[in-house]
Amino acid sequence: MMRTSLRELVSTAEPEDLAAALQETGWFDLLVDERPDAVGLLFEEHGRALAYSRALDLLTAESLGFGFDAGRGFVYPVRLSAEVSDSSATIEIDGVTLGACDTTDLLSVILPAGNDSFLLASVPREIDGLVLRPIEGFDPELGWTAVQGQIDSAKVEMRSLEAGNDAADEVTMAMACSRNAIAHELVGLAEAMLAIGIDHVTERHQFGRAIGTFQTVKHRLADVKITITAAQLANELAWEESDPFSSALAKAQSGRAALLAANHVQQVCGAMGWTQEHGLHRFIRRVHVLDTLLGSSQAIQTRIGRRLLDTRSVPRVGGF
Amino acid sequence: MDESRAKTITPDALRQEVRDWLSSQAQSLARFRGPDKAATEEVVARELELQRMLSEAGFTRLGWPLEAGGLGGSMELRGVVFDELHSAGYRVPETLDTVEICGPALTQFAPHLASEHLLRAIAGEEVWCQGFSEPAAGSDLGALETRAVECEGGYRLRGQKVWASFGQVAQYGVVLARTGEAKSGYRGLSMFFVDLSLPGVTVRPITAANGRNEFAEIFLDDAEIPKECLIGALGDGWTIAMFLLQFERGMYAWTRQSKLHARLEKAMAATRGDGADAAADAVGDAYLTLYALRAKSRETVKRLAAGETPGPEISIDKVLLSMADQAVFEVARRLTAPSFQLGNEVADRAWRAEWFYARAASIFGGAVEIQRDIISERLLGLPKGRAVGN
Repeated sequence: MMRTSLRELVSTAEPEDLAAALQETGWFDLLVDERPDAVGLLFEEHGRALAYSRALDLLTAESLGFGFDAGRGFVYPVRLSAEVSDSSATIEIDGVTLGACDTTDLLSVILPAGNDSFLLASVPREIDGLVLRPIEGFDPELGWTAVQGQIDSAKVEMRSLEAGNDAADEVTMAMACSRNAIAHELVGLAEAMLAIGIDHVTERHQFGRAIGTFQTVKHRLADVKITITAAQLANELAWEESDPFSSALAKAQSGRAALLAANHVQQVCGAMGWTQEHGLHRFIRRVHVLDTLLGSSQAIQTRIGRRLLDTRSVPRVGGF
Repeated sequence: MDESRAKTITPDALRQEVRDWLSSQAQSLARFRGPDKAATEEVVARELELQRMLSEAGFTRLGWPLEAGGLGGSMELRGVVFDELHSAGYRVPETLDTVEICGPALTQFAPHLASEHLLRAIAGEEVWCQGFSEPAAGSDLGALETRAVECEGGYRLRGQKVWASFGQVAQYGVVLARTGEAKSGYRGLSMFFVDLSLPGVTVRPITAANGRNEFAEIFLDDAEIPKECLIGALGDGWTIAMFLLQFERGMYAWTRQSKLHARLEKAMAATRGDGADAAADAVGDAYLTLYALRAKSRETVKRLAAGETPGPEISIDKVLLSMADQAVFEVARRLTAPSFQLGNEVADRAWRAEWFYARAASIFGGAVEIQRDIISERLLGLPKGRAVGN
């Protein structure tokens, strides 16, 4: 019931009106009160409908105790290797904001700090060394803004460093939650692409039979189903475990599922899926761009591997 | 551990109890750690002793029905036990896998056999094997030709079974045979619990590519078995086989992923690794694949414990199992090179044997190609493509 009405709303609203519509219909309150279920639903539907809104900013603001302010710009990192620590003299920023971000003087910049933890810096928009540039990129529909540069750490307010460890944990946990949300959106995209693939191979006939009867075609879609299932379970576990590592795992699994779906579904849709008109390309573009937010699945994977090798231990996440 | 505690104990409390037990028994359990270079038959014989200890402590009787010698409670509790054993570096006896796979079919469809045999199998007093595959019926299991004909007091079995893990050391086999017409397909099958010491039964080990006797073939030459050995009703063989497979995908896969975590850890310990990016990437990839298996088999065990029927979805578990198995031992091969290829140590031999075994993970129990057919046809609703059988 909730899903049906949400699906209707997300798939019909104009992008610029979506945030307001979600607020009016009480969805933003649900994000706070019914966190796992409402976040899962909302972001999966975003993915399915190829919708874009600033729902992630709302969630991030809420987790950080800010309350939603449309003027506040959050900058999410897209490269985990640009790490900061307590002693960094300069801070490297390589991130994006979800909107045009021209109404605020102060940016809330999220910075990767290693091992799935994050710090938060308040950075004046006009600070030396920072460049803001509208992103056309692989998915121009999104209308994001790139925020890049090297800035002097003395000139910014590092909330977590000054306030001690609890605040750092708060930022890290907030980002775990935001990673979960992105993971759900990636799963929504993957499911939408799988549905497109299933429709196509069922309807398209060659050699006198539906191409979905050929094993090689079938098995590509079976593999998509397998990775989506794994991603969904990883997302459930991330909420259950409620720690940064399981959220990293969820985001990596979901990114892998969405990227595999993009590749396999494009292949089985043949030449038709490669046209502008077909529209599959919009999902593919979205997957590749969304995957970068708060660390790509590839970057997370390599980091997990390094962590395992460094600690010589293999964590067992999720039990009975 | 007793019946009343089995009903109330939490997984966390059990975890602690297993840990305490393992440390209190550390000395007598030491021989069950690390690779064992002996032949399969010797290893099995040795590990039956561990089975006895685990059963006596009550851990492996958790979650089995009281009537069959179990302690009751949820089968999830055994999942905790297996996870802890592997985590602490012990081998879980592989003959217990057959109990996990076949036990539920006995308790569900043949309580009289379960009450006589289950506890003995749990405690390592008898070993079971599975007799499903045949030389001409592997992935196409519905084509099997072993016949069971009614005779005075029971059934007479004739045919050949193959790829029965631990068949050469087993006393009993759970055997699928045709009781209907030759062309009756899936409908004309029945399941039997066969005493392998009966006249007319011959078992021969098969040496696998890794040099170990991983399985056996069973020749049934007019072997007569009593009628009590029928599991379930006549003609219900396929239903029971499908029921049984859920547990193979469930608890067997869960135990396997526990072991794979331990082996991945061991492989990393064996490296003179410098954490180079390529190695890190490979380890991260294997870990994510393994995590997918852990999450899925955990869900399946939970559903089975709740009495649900996961049905065709278990094919996902099976594919994830083979992916994880191969990902972990591939990365182990890379991390332990070049002693993997060139070393003579016990550990090197163990890595090679396990790597080779992992190559079969996508073949045994229904090749992954069949699983992907099931996923695409029964879960995604894609049109059937086979020329026969539809």
